[in-house]
Amino acid sequence: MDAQRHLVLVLENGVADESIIHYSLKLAKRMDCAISVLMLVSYDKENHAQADMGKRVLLHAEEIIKKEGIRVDHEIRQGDKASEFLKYIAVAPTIAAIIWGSDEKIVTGRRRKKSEHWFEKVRPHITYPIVTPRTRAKKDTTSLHTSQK
Amino acid sequence: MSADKKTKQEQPVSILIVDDDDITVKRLEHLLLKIGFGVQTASDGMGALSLVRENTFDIILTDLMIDEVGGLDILELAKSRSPETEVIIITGYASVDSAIEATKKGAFHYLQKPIRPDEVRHIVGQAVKNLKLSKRVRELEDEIETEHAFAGIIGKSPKIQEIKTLIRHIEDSDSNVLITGESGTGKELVARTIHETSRKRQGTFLAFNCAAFHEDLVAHELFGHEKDAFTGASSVRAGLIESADKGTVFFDEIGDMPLAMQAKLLRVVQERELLRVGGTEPIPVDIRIISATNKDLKELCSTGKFRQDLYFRLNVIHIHLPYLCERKEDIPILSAFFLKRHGRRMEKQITGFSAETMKLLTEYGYPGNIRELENIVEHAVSMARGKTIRVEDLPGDLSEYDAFTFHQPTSQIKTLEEIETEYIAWVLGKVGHHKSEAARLLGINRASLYRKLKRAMLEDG
Repeated sequence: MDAQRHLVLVLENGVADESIIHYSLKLAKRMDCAISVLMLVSYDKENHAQADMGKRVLLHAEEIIKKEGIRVDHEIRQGDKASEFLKYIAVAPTIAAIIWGSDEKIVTGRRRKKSEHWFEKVRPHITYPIVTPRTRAKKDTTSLHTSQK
Repeated sequence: MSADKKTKQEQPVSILIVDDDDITVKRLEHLLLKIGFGVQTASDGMGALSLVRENTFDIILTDLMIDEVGGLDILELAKSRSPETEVIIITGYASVDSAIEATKKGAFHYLQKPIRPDEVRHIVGQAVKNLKLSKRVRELEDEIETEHAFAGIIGKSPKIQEIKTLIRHIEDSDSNVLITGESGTGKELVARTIHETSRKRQGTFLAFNCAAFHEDLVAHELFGHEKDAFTGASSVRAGLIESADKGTVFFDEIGDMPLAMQAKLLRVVQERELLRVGGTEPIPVDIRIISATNKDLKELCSTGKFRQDLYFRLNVIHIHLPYLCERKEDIPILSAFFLKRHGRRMEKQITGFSAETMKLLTEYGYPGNIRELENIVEHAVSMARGKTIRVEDLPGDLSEYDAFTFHQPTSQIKTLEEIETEYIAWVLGKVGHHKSEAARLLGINRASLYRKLKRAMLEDG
């Protein structure tokens, strides 16, 4: 039985900011967690490029995380992102927190207009803390936003 | 007493002698070495300051007038680095008034030249006694503090005050307790506190993590086994529940307990007896059960992953621990507590946090809750080079990344039926599951009680 808790790093569209991977590493060390990297890509006949890119990103992320001695696994899911994400967390091992590795404004609520983004819709149903990196404009560094339900 | 403490006590008292008069230094050194003290000497002020910066002395004997650096400078530096260091001022007759002034500033005593061995022995002896007394007082303070932190959960926020009040209210009860809250919020500490303040405190407190074992191991660990129950079972072995008889068992991650084990545990809760693996004779047990989970047990009940009857039996008293970010006002006091704990462990004299550091700590979101805060403070203490924790001492990501928090309320609105069921379970627990008595207290007849119990699955049939 897997008793170690996991941080789930959620990425989408085949891309990832490397600073988010490094942040996840530091948080995982501090919280004594393993990391699960989940890449979500929408299903589209024309969308093979994103899926291929996503696989490469996941392998790269896994390599960085493994080097630091943190347990890591990854998965790519293609289809309806909201549905795939909810299915993933329903069967995932014990989750300590979710790191949202895509557009931070979706979680921080800093969008001017209400977003139609899928994550905004599923967020109220997530009971885990959500940690959200965001770019700090002035100092040109990344910042974090934690949301706990 | 730990071996570490013992070693420290066995070390000789360390003394620094500072005087520009070589003869005085030699005489004092000879005298104090003969008594058995560890002695270092300095014949100029700068050399003395350098020694004080690099070492912690128990006692310093220093001339008042040395050179451009005076005895008062040495006194000030020594006290700022180690308040327990006793400083004895050596002075000529002409400067006795200044020496008296020095004692007002924290010097232990003064010695007047010419030095008389008896007087030195006496005053240094007094300083050693004082030193020992201070150390003992500090040890006692540490013990009291630890006790206080153990029995009193740290925090002044209304949510923590409520929890403390509830724990005080249930001191005389043996009812089962369910503690909910995210990982790192201090569930086991609360469970231990409940045990330590309860009537079962003379008994054992045993903790079991339900998520850490496979189903067959859970059975063996919890219920023990009879001889020859399986290959290799060469003798009878009592399980954890049996070993905790007259005490408390803490089931962490109860939501991860396998269904088959839940049925066995239900028997323990209801009948107050258990069967060892391979056994046929029930063994009576008298335990209190405290469970904890970060999962929604009601949700697990509705999906059939957790027995509802067991849920109600375990949830007689419910304590919910808030996220750390829901009680930000407790972050400074918790940080100070962890700073003391780790500062002492690493033998560092750090007095506090810079304002900027505390602001950062207070604003951070803590997905890992109190455990993460402790980890951050421990990291900072190990990195700190000065007396104050600065932003640079914090883990890189905290100082590099801006952090602000919002969270949605955790409280859930219960249905009337849920409240009724919980109340019935609570009353049943209070009266030892005596149904006629429970019905009388609830103001309903036995038939109505049975109907309600059946509906809530608190009763078979």
